[in-house]
Amino acid sequence: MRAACLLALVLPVSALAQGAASASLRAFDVARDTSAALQRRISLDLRGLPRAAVVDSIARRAGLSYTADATLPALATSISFRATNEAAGIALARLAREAGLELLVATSGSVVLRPMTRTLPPPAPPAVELERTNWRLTGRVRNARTLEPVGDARLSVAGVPYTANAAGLFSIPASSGPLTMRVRAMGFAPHDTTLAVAGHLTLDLQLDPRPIGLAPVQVTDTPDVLSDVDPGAVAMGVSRLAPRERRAAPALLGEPDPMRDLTTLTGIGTATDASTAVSVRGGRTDGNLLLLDGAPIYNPSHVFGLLSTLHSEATDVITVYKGTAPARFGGRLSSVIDVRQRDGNGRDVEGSTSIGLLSSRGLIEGPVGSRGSFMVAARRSYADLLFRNVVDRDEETIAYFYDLNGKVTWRAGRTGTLSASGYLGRDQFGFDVRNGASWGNTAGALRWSQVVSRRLLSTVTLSRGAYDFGFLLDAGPEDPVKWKAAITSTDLRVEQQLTLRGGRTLDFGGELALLKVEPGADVFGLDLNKLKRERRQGRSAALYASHEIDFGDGLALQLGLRWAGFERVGPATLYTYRGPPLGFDPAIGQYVQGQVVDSTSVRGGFAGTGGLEPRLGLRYTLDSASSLKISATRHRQYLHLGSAGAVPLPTDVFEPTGPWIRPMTGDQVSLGYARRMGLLEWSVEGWLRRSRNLVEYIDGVEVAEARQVETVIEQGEGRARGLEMFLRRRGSRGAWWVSYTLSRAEERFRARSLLSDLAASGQSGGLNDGRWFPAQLDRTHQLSATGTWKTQGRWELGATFTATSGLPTTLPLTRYVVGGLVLTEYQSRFGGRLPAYHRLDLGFTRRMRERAALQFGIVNAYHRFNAQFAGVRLGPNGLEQVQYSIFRAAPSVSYAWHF
Amino acid sequence: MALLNLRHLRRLAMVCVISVGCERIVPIDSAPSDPLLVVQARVDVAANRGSAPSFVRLALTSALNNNAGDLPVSDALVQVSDDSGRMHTFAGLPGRPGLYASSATLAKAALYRLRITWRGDQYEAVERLPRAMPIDQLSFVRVDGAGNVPGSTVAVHFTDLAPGADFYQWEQYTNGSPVAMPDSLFFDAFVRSDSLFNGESVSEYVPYPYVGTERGAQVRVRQATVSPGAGAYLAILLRQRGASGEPFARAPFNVRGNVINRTTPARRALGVFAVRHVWEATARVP
Repeated sequence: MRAACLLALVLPVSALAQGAASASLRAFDVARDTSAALQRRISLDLRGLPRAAVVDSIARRAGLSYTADATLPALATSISFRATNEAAGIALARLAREAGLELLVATSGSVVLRPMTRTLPPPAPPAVELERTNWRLTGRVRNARTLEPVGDARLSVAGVPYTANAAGLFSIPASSGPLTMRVRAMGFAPHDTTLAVAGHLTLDLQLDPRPIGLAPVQVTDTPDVLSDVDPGAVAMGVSRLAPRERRAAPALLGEPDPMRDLTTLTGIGTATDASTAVSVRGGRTDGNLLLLDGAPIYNPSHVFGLLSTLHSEATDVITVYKGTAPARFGGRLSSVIDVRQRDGNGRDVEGSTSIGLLSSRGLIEGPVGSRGSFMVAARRSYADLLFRNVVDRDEETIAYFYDLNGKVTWRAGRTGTLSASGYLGRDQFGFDVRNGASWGNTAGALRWSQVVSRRLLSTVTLSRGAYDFGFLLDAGPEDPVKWKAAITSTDLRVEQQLTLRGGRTLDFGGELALLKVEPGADVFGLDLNKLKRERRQGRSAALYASHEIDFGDGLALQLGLRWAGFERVGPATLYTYRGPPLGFDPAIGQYVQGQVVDSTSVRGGFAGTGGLEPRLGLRYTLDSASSLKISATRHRQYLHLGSAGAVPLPTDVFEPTGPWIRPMTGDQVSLGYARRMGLLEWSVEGWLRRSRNLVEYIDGVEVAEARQVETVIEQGEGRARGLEMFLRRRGSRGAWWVSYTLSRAEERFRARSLLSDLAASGQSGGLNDGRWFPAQLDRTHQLSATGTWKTQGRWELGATFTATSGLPTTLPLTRYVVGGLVLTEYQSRFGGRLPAYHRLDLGFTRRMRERAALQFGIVNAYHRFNAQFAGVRLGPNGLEQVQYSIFRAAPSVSYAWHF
Repeated sequence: MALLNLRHLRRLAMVCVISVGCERIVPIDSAPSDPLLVVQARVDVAANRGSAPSFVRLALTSALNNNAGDLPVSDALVQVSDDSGRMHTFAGLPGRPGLYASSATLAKAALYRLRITWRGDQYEAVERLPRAMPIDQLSFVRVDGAGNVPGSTVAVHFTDLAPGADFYQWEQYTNGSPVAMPDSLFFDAFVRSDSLFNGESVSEYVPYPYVGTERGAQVRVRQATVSPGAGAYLAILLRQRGASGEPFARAPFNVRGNVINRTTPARRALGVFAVRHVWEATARVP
């Protein structure tokens, strides 16, 4: 054993050691020296020594530094070995082959001895006296199969934790001597190795992915795999879904949708079955920031929200920060949904395709030269083709959507990555070419990530996100209408990670963004009138710093501070009102819009605002498998979505903070406990959130019609509290997880300005008479249980059971007639509840061949009527209350194959 | 009209959803409540020529499942006064329960006050006379497209005055007879806000898109500027019907008018008191 440990020890000869001792040694110098060392000719004749000692001797003679697992049995075997004027690399390769090992020389220059097939369990860390502590381990973590970067991998060197950045790059301080390195990443096998360190090393860590086939239920993770329930992490409220786990959930109409899959996690629900817009912890749908490779997607929905814009095969791990986003993120109150597109296979060209009921999808990926990779994915629905060719050949119906995803990644130097990614998606919907609507997103990001020095990792991202909506209705010369609205943002973000001693890191950086909102323009027929609402422009800036300190004894602290500011930019028109722009008259119980008395044009910046957003996290590890965590965060939001209803629609209008509209702020405090018990992991997390300056449109206003938005907007406050429980078990042939959320979210909008004399008598007013009411997407109970199982044969099964409280609804009280219209007087806002909701989804996958599969699924298997909303309508027998469900049992079938 | 079409688009989305979903009519189980007074009051003041009778209709709210029509209120005292000290008492019309009218034409004044006394409670609403917007010109566009009655539709050309919110209603008479919308209920409630053309020259089609007018016919158009409080109320009225609780619609809400109960404020009145300033123009279809 001693010999084995020694083997893992340092073998650098003087040249390398001296070079390494120099602070100016650069990564490629290491590789060049490695190459020279491997070619150095040696002669030796050793007998009866452990193979480890032989390797040690060769390496010493060649002046070679390498990495090996000291506990490999093959290295303990005594052998005789002879080499005469033989290149060290050839001698080592011969020795390794005889022992069933393989000698890997990465392009980074690192030399690794490892078993032919897969990594062995981690060795016990050797107790070695540290000699020097100023070496650096830099490099990247990659997928061994596809060479794609593995972002956010957790590394541990000599027991001190570090995290690779989004591009898989890392820079870690190290001491001389044998050091145990452990690497963990979601969806990959644990990777443990021992490093022999005597100088700066550049590592190319390649992780073996868990077997991923076409089937949704190949789950073979061990408890060591990084997951949501990570007692060692300081962060709270973070949920991740790997591609394999996303595919485990049965899909609506056979259309895998990553956004819907998120709802199997705690605290996340969709607005309705018809929508993929999610509400996180009772928050509003516009409180979520969806980033695709760093670029915002402003309206991530197709078919009026039924499907999301995320292509399931093109997306990698999705990370959701539920009100606890790190300091590098900001701009939304509820959550940040960080979606990464796949980089593409860097080794081989391969692809996949799938044919379903709604759409067909395809993806192709492969290497670009020896240092890059590409990925291109596409999806198109074909409802219009079916309709025109099957239902009615005379119709010119247009009803389809498409997505195009692409990404090119290039390894720049030894520790740098350059990537360009893009997304284009669009919905077309109409009766013919002159009557219809069209909307879509475009997003692009150019990202450069680089280890710029031994301590500093830098990532620079230039991104652009855009969304536009337009329609043309040409019913006749008296009423033809065009409408076009859009939002565009351009963002430059710099993220720096400085590694300090003792496992501490300092993250800092900033971002600059330009925002442009076109709220909508009407063009009436015959050019009688051209009406255009004024463009809103703004710019924002943010600076942040975050520092994580591990005090030892299980206590770790994460401190973060973000400053974010926003200001509107002209040209713009500012209005002056007689009194407030919006007041409430308690006498008649309604809002009264202010009268404009003057207006001025401004250029340059105006209505600037900003503030600090502190982030605090505290973790106390109770033992190796459990910990207590506390966090407190503040977020500010400068962009509001004027939504017509609970569900975001293509027609919704964005409105930035301005002279009359204050930024929304949200404070959240969380307390949690996480524990692992063998294959079982579970967590409990309680949270409280207070929000201020929530934006709501006054009753009855048409958002798109308001030229002066301040005359139709009220701002209020919100409060929410909840308890989330998560339980997961992963096994060799299946997994299941259960999430339960108990929560309550409420809002109150009291009138800021009271117009009547009655105000003096203590009367108040506002929406719902200024009283608290449940948030529109508030659900008291939310339970989701998902299980996956792979049989001995070719079948794979998946099931999801969902049960939630009914959504709030406003109940009718009486009826009356005005102007010939039958109207309804309602009770208090959202004072009632729809019936409870529950359903069972089942998925079955039959492997047809090694690379193909036939997938069956049924959503709402027992055909339950789940009321999603209720309304009042005038029926043949008078007013009637109607409850609607989105779908009953919905079977699906799809066929997929890889090539 | 653009915004109406926006709503149509939402309805289209709703149709898509319902086409794959289903609906269920559930019993209306609302708690009984005291009926509230519903007021529909309209005072027209002529700006250049002609006049129209002013009227007030009173009724009560009823249970949701009441399909026998609204419940008229015929025993109220209804009065309209102006800031010049003139007062008109509206008398109930025989055979028209709940409908009250004045035999006299109301003179021009700056402010009008409606007072209703009923069962011990006094209700009151105050509205200012809005500015009348002169019609600059009437023009005609030939409509022969599918779905339209062949003929010409009339467009009104005028200049909206800024600042301030204005609301418009248009009424068309052809050869002396009123042209009704196919859905006459819509006609009563339709109002057009100037929020998107405030202070600009406007060309607006009189909203009878499916009715053409024959060549040579005499067309009279009444352009009524509606007092702001009432205009805002009527604009919201249509939207309440769209705010039905569907996921693509706004949350249901109550519409509040400008009539308050001075005696018992908690027993509010529903409905509206509108003062309209009317400008008339005539032209012959070429």
